[in-house]
Amino acid sequence: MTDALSYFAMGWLDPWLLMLTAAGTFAGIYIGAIPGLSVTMAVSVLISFTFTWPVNDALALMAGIYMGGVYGGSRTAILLNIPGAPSAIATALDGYPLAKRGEAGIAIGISTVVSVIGGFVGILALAVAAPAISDFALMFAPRDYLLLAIMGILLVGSLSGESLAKGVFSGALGVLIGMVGLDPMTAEQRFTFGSVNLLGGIPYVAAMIGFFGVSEALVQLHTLHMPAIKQQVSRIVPSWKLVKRFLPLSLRSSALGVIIGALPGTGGDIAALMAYDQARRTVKNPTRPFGEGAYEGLVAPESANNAAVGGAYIPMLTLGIPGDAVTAVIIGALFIHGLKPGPMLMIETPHLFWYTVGNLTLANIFLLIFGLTGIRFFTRIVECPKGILLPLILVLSAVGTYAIQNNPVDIYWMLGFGLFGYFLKMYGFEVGPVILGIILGPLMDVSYRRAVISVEDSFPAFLWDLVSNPLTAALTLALAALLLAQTPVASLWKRRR
Amino acid sequence: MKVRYLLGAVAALALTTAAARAEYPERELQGVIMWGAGGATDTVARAVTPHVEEALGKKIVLVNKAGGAGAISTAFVNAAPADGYTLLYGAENPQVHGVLALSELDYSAFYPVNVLARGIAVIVAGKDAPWNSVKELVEDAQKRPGKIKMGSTGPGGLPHVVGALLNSVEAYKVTAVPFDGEGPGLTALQGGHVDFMPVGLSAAGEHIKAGRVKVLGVVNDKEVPSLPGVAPITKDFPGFSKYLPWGPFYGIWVKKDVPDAAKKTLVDAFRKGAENPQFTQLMVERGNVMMNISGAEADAFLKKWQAVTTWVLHDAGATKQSPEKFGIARP
Amino acid sequence: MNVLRRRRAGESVFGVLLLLFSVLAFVQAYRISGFSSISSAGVFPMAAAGAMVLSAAAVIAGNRRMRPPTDHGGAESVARRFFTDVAPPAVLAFIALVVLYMLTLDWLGFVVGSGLFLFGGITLLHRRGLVSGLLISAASLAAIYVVFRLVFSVVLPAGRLFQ
Repeated sequence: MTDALSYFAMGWLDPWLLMLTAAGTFAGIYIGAIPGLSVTMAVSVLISFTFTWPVNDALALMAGIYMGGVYGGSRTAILLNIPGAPSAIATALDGYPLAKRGEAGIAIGISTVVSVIGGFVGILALAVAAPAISDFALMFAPRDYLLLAIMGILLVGSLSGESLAKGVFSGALGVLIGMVGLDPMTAEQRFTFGSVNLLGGIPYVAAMIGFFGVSEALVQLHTLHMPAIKQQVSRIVPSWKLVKRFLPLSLRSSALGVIIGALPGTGGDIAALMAYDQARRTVKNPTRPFGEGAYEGLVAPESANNAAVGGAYIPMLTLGIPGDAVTAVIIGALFIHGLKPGPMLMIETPHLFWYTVGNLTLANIFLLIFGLTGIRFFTRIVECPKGILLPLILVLSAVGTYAIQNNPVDIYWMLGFGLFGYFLKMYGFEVGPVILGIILGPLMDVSYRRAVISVEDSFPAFLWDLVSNPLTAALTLALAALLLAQTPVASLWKRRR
Repeated sequence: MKVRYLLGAVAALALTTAAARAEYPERELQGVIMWGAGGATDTVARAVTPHVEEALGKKIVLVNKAGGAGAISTAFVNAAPADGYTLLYGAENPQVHGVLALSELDYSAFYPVNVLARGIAVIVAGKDAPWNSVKELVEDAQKRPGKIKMGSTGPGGLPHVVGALLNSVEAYKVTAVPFDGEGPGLTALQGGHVDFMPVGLSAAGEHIKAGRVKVLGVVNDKEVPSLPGVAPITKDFPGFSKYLPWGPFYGIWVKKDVPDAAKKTLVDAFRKGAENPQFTQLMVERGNVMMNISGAEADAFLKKWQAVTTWVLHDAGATKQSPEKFGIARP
Repeated sequence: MNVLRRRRAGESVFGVLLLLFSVLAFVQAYRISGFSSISSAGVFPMAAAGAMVLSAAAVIAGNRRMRPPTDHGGAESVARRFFTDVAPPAVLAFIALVVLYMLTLDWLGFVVGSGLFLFGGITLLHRRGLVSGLLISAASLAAIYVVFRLVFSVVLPAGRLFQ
């Protein structure tokens, strides 16, 4: 126990490590906020940079960047409707309407506080229940991922805007975009038209930046000469009363975030979307209707995506299995530093676990400090004249898209999606379901096919699997309940009561 | 007049070659990694590059251009100018792209700067599996065809090829469930969602050591030091030896028509970088066999690997085009 | 309640285009692997494209229930509405600029292309004179270059013109 405590405090007592964690968190916020600069990329660059450093220094910096980066994505999502990172997609749904009302300051304030709450829940889960959670995560079979993805895609129903048909179209379009490229299971080409550039598919960050950011920039041209919305910056830190009101939702979303983050096939983006969906279903009286600037629509995804950080570390530290793309890169970094990431990591290098828990805790504290400062500066961005802001958004979107995988073709996709998204929006389609489809479509595709292949392509056996295993049966039941709640039967029953 | 002209030409030639030798590399290089961040190829690339930079005296900017099982990176480097400033960090995949109809390009269009190391494959099963050797597994699979689930990583991936190699020695039938990579496959194995999986020792080593998976055999012709007491596959299946050594490999390529001076500089720098004891130790501990070969020696290795793999895949009915079409002779 | 919304100019045409696109996508999806097995590569693409076809048809049906874009009909007045409501001159000009940027990016490279686009866009939209446009675009381009090229070593695309 004293050992654990001393490892935990390592990063706190050494001023150099303390400084590195702080610098990492600070840099992470800005990396997360710039679309196209991702935490995965930053950590990759850091590997060559920190190659000659002691491993503890490198880990402190990476933990900070990870924590800060997941949170930082919310900044641009709220201010410009461009999620700086995929995990902030759900944040844009209610965050951007808030900025349009001049409430960007309080929106960022709330995001910061609930991100920190989510972060602590994730760290706590990592500290006390890591082995149990990673064993639980291993139990998820392909069919369970399929059920999870279907639950997520049901969110289309509430993101449809003026007509369900339009929502379904957008969602299906997203699934289709997600299918483009080399099928990972059979190496069959789908919608590639013989082009090598399409073999790798369309990166969903390019679609995200195009459909969200560029199309919104074009819509903004309609109101070019209206003065920019004045942002109230007098109240940024949410009152204690407000925090208390959102605490139950935040904790619920965080628990969801930990589990989804710990699952090896899913990360913060899906966690945030599912938490948002969960909030829409369970919160009876939101501050405003969802989609028009409900604070609850910020609380749920922002709690969940930061909780997913701790969640993603769980299988990584206990089993050497990455919980998401960032922890995969961190595993690579550990290896390069001469450690052996795997189930023996905690036995061979016992300090690493508690040292990481300590670092994440520290990073989370710095997140609160840095997150609540500098908001005024950020909100200035939206007060900048649109004539300057809009061309700048375009160029930033282009370089950000290019930076994902250094492929200029992605820029064309992004701009093309921007133009298409503009017309979709003009004719009453929502673009949210498109992104939902792109993220969840491929997960549904491979999970379904894996599940069916596992039972030798027998559909009855696949259906039997859905109810015969306890975990799967529970998920099937949950899915059935969600489906029933959306059908007319449920509303009829409710009305009769 | 004539002499003077000749002298001038010689002087000019000397000057340009001297200049070329003095100049390359005059700016930073770009290294294109064909797999995503965090993967085995990425890790090897990032581990060797700092040592190479030291020998080269210039920075190599590494970028990941994943997609199309490496076809995108291969096409990108092939389209870049042949000036030696664009390097391809790759694995074995392009050698089977032709027969899988993914891309016409393979390593024959490139010059191997260095084939760093090759990995050894092992066959692992869940820790509670009833089998204790590959032989028992194969016999069980022959008894209940299709009922045993094998973790795979898609066509042309290591599990698929090892499975096909074994099948050509002793026919059996299992159901292959493809995952996104060796890591996700091993995860599914530990969750009991597949029953066994051929996989690179580098990916499975730590899981074997911790006893979370059971190793049934090593795809090699003798025991490997890091797995004492584990039988080589040739013990029960002597017919397998004609395919060995077989395993994934990692290396660095440039376009064929890069100037010789640049090639030489690169070969020297990478040889020196790969000799670094820190790097060698990393690779060996992960269950790889260091190769550190280049030029003709590497070409011969690549050719043999391609011939063995593509023909076995072809005989297993897993190809879309015959290796003959690409002038690959049957081994 | 939304059924009562007026159709926007061009909305019917857009619906038909979406349906056409969906049908083409379905044909492409079918060609991946047909109905060969329930776990083939084409299953999900076909399901998605099929959902697109059905929902696009539903969207078209919904469009027909809406009130027409203008009260006195006439293709000419609908076209006029299109250029005031859906694609006003500012949007069209900016889209033209974006398309130009896309087309020339390969030739000019990222730095020059983006510089020209920024300059063009800011002078077009902000209208505070050429000098301020030049200054703002140069400063923001420099900031982008520092962050992406220098800090994150992203090798920005060089133009073919300068190779």
